Amino acid sequence: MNKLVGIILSTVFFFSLFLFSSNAFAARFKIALFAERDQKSLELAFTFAEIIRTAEPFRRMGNQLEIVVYHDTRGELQCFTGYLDIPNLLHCNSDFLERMQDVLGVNRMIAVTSRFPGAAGGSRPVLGNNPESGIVLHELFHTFGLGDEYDYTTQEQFRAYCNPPSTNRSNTVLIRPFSFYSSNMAARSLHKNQIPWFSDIKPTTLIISGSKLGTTEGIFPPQDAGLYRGGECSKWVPTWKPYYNNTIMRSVVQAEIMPLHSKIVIDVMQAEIGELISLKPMNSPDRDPRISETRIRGGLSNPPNNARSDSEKRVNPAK
Amino acid sequence: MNWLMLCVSAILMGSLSTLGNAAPHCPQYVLSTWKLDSLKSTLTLLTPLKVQPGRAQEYCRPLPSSNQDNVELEITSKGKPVFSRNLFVNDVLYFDLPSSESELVGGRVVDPIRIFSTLIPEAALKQPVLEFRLKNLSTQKVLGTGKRDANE
Repeated sequence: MNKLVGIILSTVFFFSLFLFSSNAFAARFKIALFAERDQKSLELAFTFAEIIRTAEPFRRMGNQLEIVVYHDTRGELQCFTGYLDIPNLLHCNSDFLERMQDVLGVNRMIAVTSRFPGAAGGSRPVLGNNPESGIVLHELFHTFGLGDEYDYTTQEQFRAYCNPPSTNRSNTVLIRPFSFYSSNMAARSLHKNQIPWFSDIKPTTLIISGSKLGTTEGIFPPQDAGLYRGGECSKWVPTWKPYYNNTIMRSVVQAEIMPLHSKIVIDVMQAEIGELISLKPMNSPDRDPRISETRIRGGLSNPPNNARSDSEKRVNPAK
Repeated sequence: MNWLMLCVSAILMGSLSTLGNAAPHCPQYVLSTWKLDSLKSTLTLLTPLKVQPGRAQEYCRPLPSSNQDNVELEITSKGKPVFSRNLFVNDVLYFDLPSSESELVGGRVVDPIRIFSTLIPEAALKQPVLEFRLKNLSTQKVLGTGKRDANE
């Protein structure tokens, strides 16, 4: 009888181990926010971390997402504004950030400073002191390849960024339209290879208005991707974007994260860390029991520069 | 009773064999961090060559695509291919400033320094000498090269 109990217990143990193992080996995307040494920057970093945690698609990732806030107690970040002689372009000590990105083994390293307004996005995002919460996600989404869906407006901007216009992004594209389209099908056929989000445009959504290229605003549901004029250099060159409404890549106030944006972010995350085992459905409380809620760890001081192993064992949690 | 024991043992062995079989077929990957200096055309592997305990993870399926891959990373050792993979590397630096009307004002510039991370096979790091190359997929232009020699 004891033998039987032993076997049953070990079976339960190994099944638990098996179930756990698929979670333990699950890919985990790591975002670190590194706050300048002042208390205000640290508070901002926690605010930003919470915004990320609760935003689409991060809110659906559970423990496949790790967000950690670090406090630059040694003052090594040294953020400044006016990088590359561009007013309001924030930048911080890149040598330090690169070292930390490697030491901590994180996928995104975001610097946070309360001393300047503005924000930068790219491979090295920097967040300044802005009351608009959406800017956090706007800059973070830039790191996944999403371009601006707002229009640059001044001649200075035109000269700096649109002449020549940059290569296409995953959510903005330069397409020189023909003067006449005989049908929606013809337009689709002509441009399907140019539109990065073409497969996300429903067959019922028209990408022409009359005989001209472009979806008419307000006809199709705002959540449905189409081909709308606008974004980046649209004022000077024919630039197109997937949505007409206030998306997070267009505005930072009352802005929405659209399904395409979310999908692009997930694709890039998976390419970096391997397949995510499960994502909670967008509009359902159901979830994979292996996925627990994302936790924000924080208040951790600078890890040693030469630390190479798991940061959790190396840093001192703040009191 | 014997039947019950037999069933439990079979389940136990089944689960054990699943666990046991998973490892040999799934390559171990480690997260690597890279720096491309497009002005100097240098590609630097920031990650140390030695794999840290607990860093390697196994992936049984091919690594997914970002669906916007723009570069190819090639790793060779003494000229022999070790690993290659198409990747997405952000080449643009954006800057934004909310205006008084809460509209965004900003722009973008080509980022001279690009930091990116990708999984690479743990086995690649066991090679004493590694050469790296990052190539633009659309132009086939080499964006940066680099080398790591464990003996140096």
